[in-house]
Amino acid sequence: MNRALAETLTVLDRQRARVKWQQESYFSELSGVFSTQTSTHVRGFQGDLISDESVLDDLVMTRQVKPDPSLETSWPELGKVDMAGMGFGPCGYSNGPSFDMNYAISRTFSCPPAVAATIAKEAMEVKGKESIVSENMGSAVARESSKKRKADKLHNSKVAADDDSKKTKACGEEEEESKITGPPNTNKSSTKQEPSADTSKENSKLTEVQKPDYIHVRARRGQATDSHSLAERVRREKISERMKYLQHLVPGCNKITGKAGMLDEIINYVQSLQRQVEFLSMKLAAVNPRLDFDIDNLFAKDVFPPCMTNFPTVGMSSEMANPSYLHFNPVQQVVACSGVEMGLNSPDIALRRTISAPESTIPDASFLDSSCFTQIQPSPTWDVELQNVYNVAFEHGRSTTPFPSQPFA
Amino acid sequence: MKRWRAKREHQIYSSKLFQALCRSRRTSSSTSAKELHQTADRVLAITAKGTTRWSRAILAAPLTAGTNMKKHKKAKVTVHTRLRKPVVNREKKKLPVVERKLKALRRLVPGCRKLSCNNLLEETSDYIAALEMQ
Repeated sequence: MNRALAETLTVLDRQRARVKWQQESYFSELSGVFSTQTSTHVRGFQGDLISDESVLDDLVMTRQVKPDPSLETSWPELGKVDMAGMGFGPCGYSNGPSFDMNYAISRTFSCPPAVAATIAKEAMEVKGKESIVSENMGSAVARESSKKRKADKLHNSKVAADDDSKKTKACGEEEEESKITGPPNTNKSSTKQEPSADTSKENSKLTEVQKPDYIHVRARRGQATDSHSLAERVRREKISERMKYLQHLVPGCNKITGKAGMLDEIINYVQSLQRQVEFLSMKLAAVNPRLDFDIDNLFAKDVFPPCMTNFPTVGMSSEMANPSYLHFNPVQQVVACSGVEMGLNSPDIALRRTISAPESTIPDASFLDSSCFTQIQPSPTWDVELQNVYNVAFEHGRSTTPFPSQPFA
Repeated sequence: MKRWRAKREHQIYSSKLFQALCRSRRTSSSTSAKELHQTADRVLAITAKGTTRWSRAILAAPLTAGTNMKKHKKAKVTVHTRLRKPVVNREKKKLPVVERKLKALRRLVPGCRKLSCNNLLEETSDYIAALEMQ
């Protein structure tokens, strides 16, 4: 009986001690335990846990008895356990503490999204490190896949963010050393003169692109991994991409290669375009009084031809003629009235000549070209036709008549 | 760049141009070519909806555009990382060739006097497309 009493006493004592210990040292123990963890992510979690203390308080108060047995069993296994799981231990203790860190983090515990984001980030780092350590063999695979990745490098050819590069630097240095001992690759070894100093963008091949907000640059096989040269290469590629686009825009630049020649062509083209606009505006200004009459008719029709279309010489529809009306009909009226024919003709010819010089083969020239000239024809016949156009249009008068296409046949 | 090819954009541009021209004609009886040019440019810039540099430049300074050819400072030489080491004379002559062309381009495209090589090319392509539409 005494023994039973003693036992009960001891049991009570034990329980009391446990409760006290639980209450007092719960948080300190937690933090203490966490600090002993090897991974640095704990500290990150600590901050998060402190915010969750209020939650823990409630839980501790309400569930003092329940977590007690599981606490004892789980403490020794803390080494494996994720901190996040512990943070909500009272809730999820029954789940068992032995799940992997990653799984726990991927599990959607009721973390606030910000915390979850930081946790996820750190998980990625851990993942990266693990992958580096465990994938020494994978470097060979990476080499092979580098060739593949070369093909779809275009998809990923963006500059890495600075902090991302620093992260990869830290991880990459480890990997660099492991890779040096990897399968022999003369190209790589020759370029790896300062492995410790270089940021290994090779590492970006292993770490997945899990952060969509960061942009990665993948170094190609057999190219320098210097950070400067990488940035330079990216810049150069951007420039060449833009130059290619400009090549498409500027007509007749398919044959010309090289930046200087291309730039020359571009400059000429821009200049000619600007001159055309000036000329057009001059024309318009000269014809201004007649502007009102025709515009109503013009805008009555909704269809506007795209200015880029290559006007066939014969098949000029009336719809296509509409925008040109703005220029031509008023022009014609004025021409007839004021007799500035020659004045207008010569700028036409002059412009045509200047345009034909740099753009001799342009079928799809600007709107001005197509409307005024349709085809670059020898000057004497052109003058005659132009005058014919003027006269005919003037005789017909209004815009109801379709634009005469016969002179252009 | 795609938008300068869209029919809808053309319609928008032409209708806006028409309105602007009518308005300008009502206010001032004489419409010089220059005014017209400026109006057209401004309408083009408006159609760009402020996404491009040159359009903003046109809209910001309509009075000075085209008339005021300020003497711009030397175009900023894009820093090639190769230049960290002393440059050979031959290389020195090579670089300015492209640089001079870029300078000329900068003068042509409004509002792009201080742009880097990269952005300049982008602005140029947009500008060309817009001019073609005009």
